[in-house]
Amino acid sequence: VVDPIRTIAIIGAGNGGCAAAAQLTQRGFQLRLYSRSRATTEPLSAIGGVEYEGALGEGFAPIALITNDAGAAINGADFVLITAPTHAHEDIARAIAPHLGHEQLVMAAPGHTLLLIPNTIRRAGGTLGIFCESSSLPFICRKSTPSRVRITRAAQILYFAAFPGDQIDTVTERVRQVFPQIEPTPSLLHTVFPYTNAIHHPPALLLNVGRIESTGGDYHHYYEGITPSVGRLIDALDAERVAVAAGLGVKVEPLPQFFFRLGYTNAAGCDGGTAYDVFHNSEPNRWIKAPATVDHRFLNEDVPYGLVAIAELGRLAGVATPCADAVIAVASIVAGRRYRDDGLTRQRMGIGDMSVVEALDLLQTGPKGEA
Amino acid sequence: MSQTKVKSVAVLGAGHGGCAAAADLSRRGYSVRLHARNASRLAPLRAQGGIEARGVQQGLVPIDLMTTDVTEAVRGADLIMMVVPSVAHDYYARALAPLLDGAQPIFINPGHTGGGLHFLHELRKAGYRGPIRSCETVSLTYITRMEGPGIVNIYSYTKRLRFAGLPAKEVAALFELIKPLYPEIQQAGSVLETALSNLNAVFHPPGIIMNAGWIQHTHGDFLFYREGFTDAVGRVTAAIDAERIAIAKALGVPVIPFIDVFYESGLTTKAARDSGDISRACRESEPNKTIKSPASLDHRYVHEDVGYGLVPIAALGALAGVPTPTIDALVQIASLAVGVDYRRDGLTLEKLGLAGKSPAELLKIVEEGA
Repeated sequence: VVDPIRTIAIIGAGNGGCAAAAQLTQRGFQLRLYSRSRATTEPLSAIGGVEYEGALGEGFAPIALITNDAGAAINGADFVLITAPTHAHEDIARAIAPHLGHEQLVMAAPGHTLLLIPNTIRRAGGTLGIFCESSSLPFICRKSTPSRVRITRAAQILYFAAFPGDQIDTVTERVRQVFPQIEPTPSLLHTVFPYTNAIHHPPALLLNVGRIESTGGDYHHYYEGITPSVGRLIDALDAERVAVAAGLGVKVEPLPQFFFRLGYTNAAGCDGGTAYDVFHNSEPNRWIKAPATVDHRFLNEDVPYGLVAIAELGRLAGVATPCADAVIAVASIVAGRRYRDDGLTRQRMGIGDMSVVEALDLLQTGPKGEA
Repeated sequence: MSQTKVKSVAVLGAGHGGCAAAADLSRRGYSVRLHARNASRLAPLRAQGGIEARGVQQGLVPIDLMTTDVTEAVRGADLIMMVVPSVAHDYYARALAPLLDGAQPIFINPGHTGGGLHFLHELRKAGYRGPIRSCETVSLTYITRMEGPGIVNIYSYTKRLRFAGLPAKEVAALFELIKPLYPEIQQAGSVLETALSNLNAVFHPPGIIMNAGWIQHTHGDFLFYREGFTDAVGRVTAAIDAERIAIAKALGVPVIPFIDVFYESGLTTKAARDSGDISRACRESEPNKTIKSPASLDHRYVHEDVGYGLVPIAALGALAGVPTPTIDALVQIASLAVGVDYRRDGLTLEKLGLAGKSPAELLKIVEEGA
């Protein structure tokens, strides 16, 4: 017997939140949409919902409650869906903590911040039952106006994990009511590593810094920006990602196979076996322009929440990550930020000074001393 | 041999620099013996009776002796000038070890960062036990290029070149010896000072690596300094420069900030210098304003300036206990981008003969040559 999910609180009304609102309305759920920012909710409140177009068709999804009050959104919801970028996870977790109840299922989509959300909620005095997450946003989407979202496609592969990991079977059954395509994995470690943006966005930007700043990004980021040398750096970062994962008992697909399965590259791109082949044969990415400035999520999000996490998990596993370390160091100077200190350190991931065995045990069975 | 004037020069190496030196010095009245390891290098020169020079010197320049026999080249020469990449140092060390008498001076042109120390280490490995008497400039004394077999274009002499002797106590005498050949040289205190004054290593690698995608996509169709040295590239260059200066400080070696040298060399405006902004200094570089980017990453801005620049600078940092996170990161990224393991192939502490040495031991080697 699966506990039914009827009411969903979507936390975050950006690209992902609006796309989720559109799809989950179509599927008949009762929705509440929360954002911290009035500027974000006002255009949506003005029309009473969100307009959408693209892969899910074109239409209007009415939303009963659009609010800046986290309590109002969460109270009575069966399912709390966090659709915020990783760098907002900590603030979001603090905002929702006081309103959560033990019976509510909390999901982050995307997650891949390990125990950052659960620990932040607990530290803020919140009550957390089961936490779960997907490795990516369930949609490829972008807002075209403050109240309209264009959904290019629904993600075909959605790796899914629960905390504690030993609850995965029950949780998967429940969440499939919302996202039928989720693929369950044994623990939150398995949803960290498929975050491939971390290994291709930062090097593609760094090795084109002069061009971005000189031309305002007037070239095609993937097709023209990822040259053979840029590709080699991506390959090296991918090898580190795969090695760190393996060191923690997690098997991940190398970038070429993963992108082929996602439909981001063709057979030639996959068979070539290098990042250069992958992106040079990537039709969906062919015309995507480069960032206009280096002050961009390709660094600000993908370095501290991606490469730093891989490097830190490398420390846990005893696997060296010289390429990730080098990219983090140079990116920090380029952006004038302290990515290493401010990113997903082991401390912030909630595994501080643990050994591999201790960390795996925690992820599997949850915090000790809890009922 | 305590000669006070150089009349004969053994030029070892017949590539761009070696041919330029042989042609220039011959034309200026020196007796030149030109050595190449490979007879095929000398074949076109022998066929035409010398080197065809363009630029600073013009026309066919006969060379007194062209040989593949090192002994023949160096015997009795007032000066041995090595104009070869560092990878050839072990070959010449083995060839010269039985021939050197400790007095015949050796000019390593160029030494980049640590060329003399590397050559000394190779000499010791080859069994040479006598004293060293070498000197070096940080860059080649010519801006030059081979334009065909036996044809060399010497665009100009390199200006304001830092020059040092190994051992440092010989620098004044060696400076007097080389100055007539290359009036642009400037005397530095030691080879550590020239090593840490290698400014090409400070700004070429970030310039080329952080434009790697642009270079490969357009074959370098942009202005390297004016367009390639943007704010963020300038910040990375500044971080490298700060590490270089910290190493010099820890070793008690005087070095000048990049931007001041750049200004004092007439390469940028006073306003740019005063702003302290390296990006601006490069963008406002009048002499560099029309210089295009390298067309590929297979270029001396990486091979030389990383392998024989950043790698030995980082090695000196390790010896001095000064962290070099930015240099290390750039070496790592350059190695991946180009597909060359510069930390293995470049001038490491081992190749400099400095593995396990303390700063005090390093300073003694630099001062005494042993």
